Amino acid sequence: MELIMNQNMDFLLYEKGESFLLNGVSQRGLFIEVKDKISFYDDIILTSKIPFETGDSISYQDSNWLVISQVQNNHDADVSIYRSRIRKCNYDVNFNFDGLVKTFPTIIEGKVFDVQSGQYIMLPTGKILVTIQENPDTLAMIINQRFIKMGSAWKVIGIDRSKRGLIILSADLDPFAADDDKIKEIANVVLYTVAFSDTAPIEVNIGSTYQTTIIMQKDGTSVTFPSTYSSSAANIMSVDANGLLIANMEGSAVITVAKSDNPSVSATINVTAKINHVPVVANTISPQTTSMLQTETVNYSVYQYVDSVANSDTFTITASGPTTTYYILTIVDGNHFNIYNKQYTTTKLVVTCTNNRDASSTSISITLKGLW
Amino acid sequence: MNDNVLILGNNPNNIPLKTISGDFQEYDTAIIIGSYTFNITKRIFTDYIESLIDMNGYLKIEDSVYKILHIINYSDYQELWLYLLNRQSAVV
Repeated sequence: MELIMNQNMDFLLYEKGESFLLNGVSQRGLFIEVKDKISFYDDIILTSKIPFETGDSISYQDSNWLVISQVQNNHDADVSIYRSRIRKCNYDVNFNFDGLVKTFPTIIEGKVFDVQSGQYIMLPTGKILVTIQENPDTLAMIINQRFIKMGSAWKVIGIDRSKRGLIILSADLDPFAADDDKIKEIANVVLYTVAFSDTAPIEVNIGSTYQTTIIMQKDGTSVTFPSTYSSSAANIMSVDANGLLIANMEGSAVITVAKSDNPSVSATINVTAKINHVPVVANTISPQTTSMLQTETVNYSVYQYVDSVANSDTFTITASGPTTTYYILTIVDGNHFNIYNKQYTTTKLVVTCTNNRDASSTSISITLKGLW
Repeated sequence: MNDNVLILGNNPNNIPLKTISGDFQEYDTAIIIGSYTFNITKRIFTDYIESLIDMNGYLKIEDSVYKILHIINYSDYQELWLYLLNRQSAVV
């Protein structure tokens, strides 16, 4: 007894179905090997309840397959059942789009099916056909584009886009070029680099901006190419399309610049947004002794303090007021001096310390008293 | 007619919709669906026409789940050909 397949599809999918990925989405379908004619291809008729398009990518049993045609549903008019012929991709091929290498599962053939004779015939030596999925990436293929596969370099000499969903490339054997990477199977390797020329980390005060600079090269020669900036924490440090940093709040971030059409060509730099700090600077004489008894000596020091920390600035120390009859000023060094009170005077002694670096000054006014 | 038959409806993962009695027997035939051949190892007779049973249905008998692949309706009873699911672990 024989039952109609479509009427039992739910049961068949449950009991005999296998999991596969259709364009990356998990599905369940029936996989039946094609036995309609002798073929060296691993063709399978895939039946499922989801629609297929020629060129769809199937991942099944750890291999990539391409939907090479949609099969007419000839059992009945049940439009909820879909069948397609899928063919196993025998090679992954790297195509180099000006430095951006993309890998596509392909069906490479050295033979073609001759409709008139009903047989497969060998292509001339040094010629192959490469079938790939039609998508925005593969549509960028051009004549003379090269690739490396099966230990040889190949050059595309023809592009057949007549089969919707699929692109068939005709390729001829081509001599290896100096910039071919035979190991990684990448033809015409192009090395793009980008780097920040700023010194890291870049510190920017909150509310301020900073223009970064980058160096772009192609095979070691300076070039320019469209690049895209991004920040790991735009709330801390945002960056515009031209690499201008804007510090928003205190913290750290990583700025990345990448080649727009190939983000793997990129560089990063650490940046810090910090609060704008105005240091407190003061020239200070200590002790603040402003009155001395006769015969008394006071040792003073003078330093410039930045945020309460003394720096190494030195001072020129001068005195004015009474004559040296009344005191002795001894300058020890650029930061130390002492005063000896020889005798009483009503004129105040003013000692002025002038910073030798920035010419800022401070002074102290001292009363020279008598013996009591 | 003393075998318990759980009617699961149209999904083998359903909880039983109804329990009925039937005469569960060994059987040996095959049904072909497309390129697949399903061995029928069991059949069951019910002593009336059960409205919940149809060609999309599944039954659970003696802790095993079967797919109904053929129904013969007689005047006041019915005969069901049963295929033992391979995917028992998913439903039992």
